[in-house]
Amino acid sequence: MEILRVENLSFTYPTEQAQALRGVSFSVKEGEFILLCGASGCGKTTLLRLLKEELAPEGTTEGAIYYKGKPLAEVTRRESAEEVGFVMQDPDSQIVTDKVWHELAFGLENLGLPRSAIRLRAAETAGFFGISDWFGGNTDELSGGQKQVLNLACVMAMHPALLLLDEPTGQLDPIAASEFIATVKKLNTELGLTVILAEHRLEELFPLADRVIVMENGAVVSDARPCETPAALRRSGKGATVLPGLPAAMRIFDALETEGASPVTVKEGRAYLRSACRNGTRALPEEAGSVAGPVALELKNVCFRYEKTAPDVLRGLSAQIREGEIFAVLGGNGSGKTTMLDCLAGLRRPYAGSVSVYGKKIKDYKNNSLYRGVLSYLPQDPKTVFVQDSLEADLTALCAAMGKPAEESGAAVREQAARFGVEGLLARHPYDLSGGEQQKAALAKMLLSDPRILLMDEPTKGMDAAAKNDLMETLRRLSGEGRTVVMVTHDIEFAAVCADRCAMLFDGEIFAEGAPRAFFSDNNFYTTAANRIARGFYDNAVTVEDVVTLALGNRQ
Amino acid sequence: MKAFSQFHPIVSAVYFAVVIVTVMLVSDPVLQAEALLGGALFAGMQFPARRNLKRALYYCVFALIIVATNPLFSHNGATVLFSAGRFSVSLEAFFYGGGMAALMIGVIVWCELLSVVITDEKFMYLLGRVLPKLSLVLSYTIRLVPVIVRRIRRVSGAQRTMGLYSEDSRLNRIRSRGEVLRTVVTWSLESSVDTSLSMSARGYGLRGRTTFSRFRFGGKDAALLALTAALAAVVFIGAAKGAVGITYYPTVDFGGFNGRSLPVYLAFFCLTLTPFAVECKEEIKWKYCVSKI
Repeated sequence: MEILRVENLSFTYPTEQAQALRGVSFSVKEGEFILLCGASGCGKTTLLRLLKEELAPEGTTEGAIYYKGKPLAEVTRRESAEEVGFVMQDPDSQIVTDKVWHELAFGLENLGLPRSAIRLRAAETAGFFGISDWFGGNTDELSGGQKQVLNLACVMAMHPALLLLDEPTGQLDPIAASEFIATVKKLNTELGLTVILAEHRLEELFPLADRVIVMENGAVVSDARPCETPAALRRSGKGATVLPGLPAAMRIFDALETEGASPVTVKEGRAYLRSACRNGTRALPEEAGSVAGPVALELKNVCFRYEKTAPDVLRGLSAQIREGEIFAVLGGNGSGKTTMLDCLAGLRRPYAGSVSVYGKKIKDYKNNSLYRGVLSYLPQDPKTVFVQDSLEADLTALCAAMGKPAEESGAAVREQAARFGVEGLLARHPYDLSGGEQQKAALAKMLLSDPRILLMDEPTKGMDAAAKNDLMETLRRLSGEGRTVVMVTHDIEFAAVCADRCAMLFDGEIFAEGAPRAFFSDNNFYTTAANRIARGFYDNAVTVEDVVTLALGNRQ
Repeated sequence: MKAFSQFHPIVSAVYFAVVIVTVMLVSDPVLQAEALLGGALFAGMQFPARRNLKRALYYCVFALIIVATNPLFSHNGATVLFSAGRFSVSLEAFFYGGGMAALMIGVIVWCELLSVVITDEKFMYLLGRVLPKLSLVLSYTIRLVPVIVRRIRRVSGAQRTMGLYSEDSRLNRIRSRGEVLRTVVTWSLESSVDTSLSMSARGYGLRGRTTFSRFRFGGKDAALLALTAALAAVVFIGAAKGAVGITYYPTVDFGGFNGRSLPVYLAFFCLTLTPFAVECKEEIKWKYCVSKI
C-alpha cells in the first residue's frame, strides 16, 4: 500500500531566486527502505523537512504531497506528530530534557497519553533499543552514538508509521554509525516500518536499501533499485556529483561496464571481478619512496594519562613525521588518536617522553609562539573555529592577532579567501555555511598564521564525496608548498587516497605504519572496500582507481 | 536504594515537612531530643559510620559554642550565676543556648536526610505537580549547563591553537574570553532552534499534555501518608493547645511529662523513628530472604 506520494513538488526559499526543489515526484510503499542521496545542498534536507509538516521551511511550494492518500495539509498536527518520526543530524541539539526516561516520555506526554500507557511504552522502547542500562541516567552523560540512538528511540516510542532521517550518522564515528544504521534496518525488517534516510555514508547503506533516490540540484536524477542505480544515472546523463561516493563495488563496475545490474556489496564485487576480469598482471608498480625532508614533528616514548589513577592513554608512543608529508593516523575509538593530536599541539603535556617540533621541545615554545607561524590545529567541529559574526571579520581578527597592520589585512584576507574558494562567502555568518564550506573557511583561517604544520582531527566528518575530493586537493597543494599535515581519522578510504603515510594507533602505541598501498594491502579487516574486493586477485590494489587500472590493463 | 527513599515523593515531602516544621516551631526539649535521636538513627542507616562520627563531633563543638556564647548576648535570666559590672550571666541563658543548639542541629540533620531522600529528580517531579511548564524549562536548563561548559572549553582550546591568544596581556585575554563566550552563546542559540524543532516534531504544544513520572503511588505510600497525617495531627493539635513547650525567661518553665503532653511526645517519637523502623524492617526482611536462599 502506498504511504506517501510526492507529485511534481517544487520549492523556493523566500530569500532566494533559484528553486531548491524542482519537480520532484516519487511514491513510497509501506515498509520500503528508501535511501536518499546526493551532494550537500542538493535539496535532500529541504525535501525531508517538507514531508514533516512541523519542520517545513518557509517558502513557496508547488505540487502536492499525499500522506496515506490524503493531502499533507489535511493531516492534523496530532497525526503528524504521532505518525511521522524525524531524526536530525546533531545528536545533542535534539535532546530536550536532562533525564533519559523523561526524554523517552516527552513525546508521549505531548500526545497526552495516560501515565500507565507511557510507562509501558517507555519500558518496551528502552528494551528494544538496548537502553535499559542507562534508563535512569542523565542525557548529558551519554556518548554521541548513544544520544542518537536515544533520539531514534524517542521518536519510535510514539509508534510512527513513517520514519524520516536526515544524515543521522553525520556526527558519529564509524562504529557508532554502523550500530545506528543496523538499528534502523532492524526497525524496517522487524516492524515493517517505512524509512526514508538521507545520508553520505553510502558504502554501508546501499546493501540495505530497497530503493535509492539520487538528487542533484533539487531534482531527482535517478530512482531505482540499488544495483540498477549506476545504469539509471548513466541513462539520465547526470549524477556526476554522486558517483564518487557510491560503494566501491559499484564504482568499479561503473568504470568497466555500461549496462546491467551492478554488484553492491564487497561479496558481490569480488564475484563480479573474478568473473568479468583477468589478472595476468597482478600488481601495480611500486610507488616512489616516501618524503625525505627534515623531521618536522617527533614524538619520543610519549606517555600520557588523564588522571593519576587512570590507565595510560598513550603508552610509549614514538613517531617521526617529515616536512611536506601528509601523515594519517587511523585507529578505533579510544585508541588515543585525539590525545596524540592534543599532545602534538601542546594542549596536553605528556608525563613522560618528549614532543619536539623542528627539533625544539614543545615546551620551549614560550608565550604561544608555537601557534604563530609554526603549528595550527583544526579541531573536529568547525563551529569551534569561528568567533565573529561574518567570515571576513573572523579572518581580519586573526590577522590583527597575528600583528598584521590593519591596512594590509583587508587585502590579505581577500587573497586568502580566493585561494580556498570562499571569496563569495566572506559576508556570510560562518554558521550559515555548509559543512564543506565551513571546512574550507576553517582551513583558510588556519593558514592565515602561515603555519608549517597543520594538525587536523577527523577532517572528513559529515562530508560528501565532492567535498572530500576538494579537501584532498587542498591538502595536496599545501603539502606541495612544503607544509606538513597530520590528520587523525576514521575515514580509511580518505586516508588511502590522500595520505603519503598511514599509521595505525592501537592501545596507545603505533602498531603499523607505511605508505598507503603497502599499509592497506597488509591489513585484512582494517582496509578499504576496494582492497577487500581485490584481495587475493590483485596484490596491491587499495583504491577503486587501482583496481580499475589493473582491470583495464589486463583487458588489453 | 534505601527503603525509605522508595516511597512516593509526595509522601516523603509531607513527612519531612511535618518533622522539620515541628522542630522549627515547637520549642520543647523532649521533642528536640526525639528529633535528634530519630535523625541520628536514620543517618546511621543512610551514611557510613565514619562520616556520622565526624558530623557528630562537629555538631557537639557547634552546640558547645552556642551554649557558651549565648549568655554574652542575652541577659534576661533570673538566676544570676555571676556578674561583672553591668554584665551578668544567668543560668537560663545557658539553657536557652542549649535549646537553640538543639533546634538548629535538629533542622540541619533532617535537612541533610531530606536532600538524600528527595533527589533532584523527585524535586523536579514535585515542582512539576505545581508548575508543569516551569519544571520542563528547568529540566532543559539543567541539561544545558554541562553542554555549555563543554562548548566553552572546546572553543577556547581551538582559538588558542589558532593563535587568537597571541599576547599575554591581560586586556587581550579578557577580550578573547569575551569572544569565546559570544561564540558559545551564538552556537547555543543555533542549537536551541534545533531543539525547538525537535520539540514540535514530537508534538509539543498539542492540547492535553500529560506529565509522566517514574513514581507510583501504592498501598505502602498511602499507609505511610495516613500514619504521618495521624501522628502530625496529634503533635500539631497538642502544640497548638499548649500541651508542650518550654519558656526560658525569666525562669525556666517546663511542664514535663503529664497527661496532656504524653500523647504528643509519644506521637512525635513514633514519627521520628519511622524511617529507622522502615529501614530495619527492610534489613531484617532481606536477611531473612537471603537465609532462605
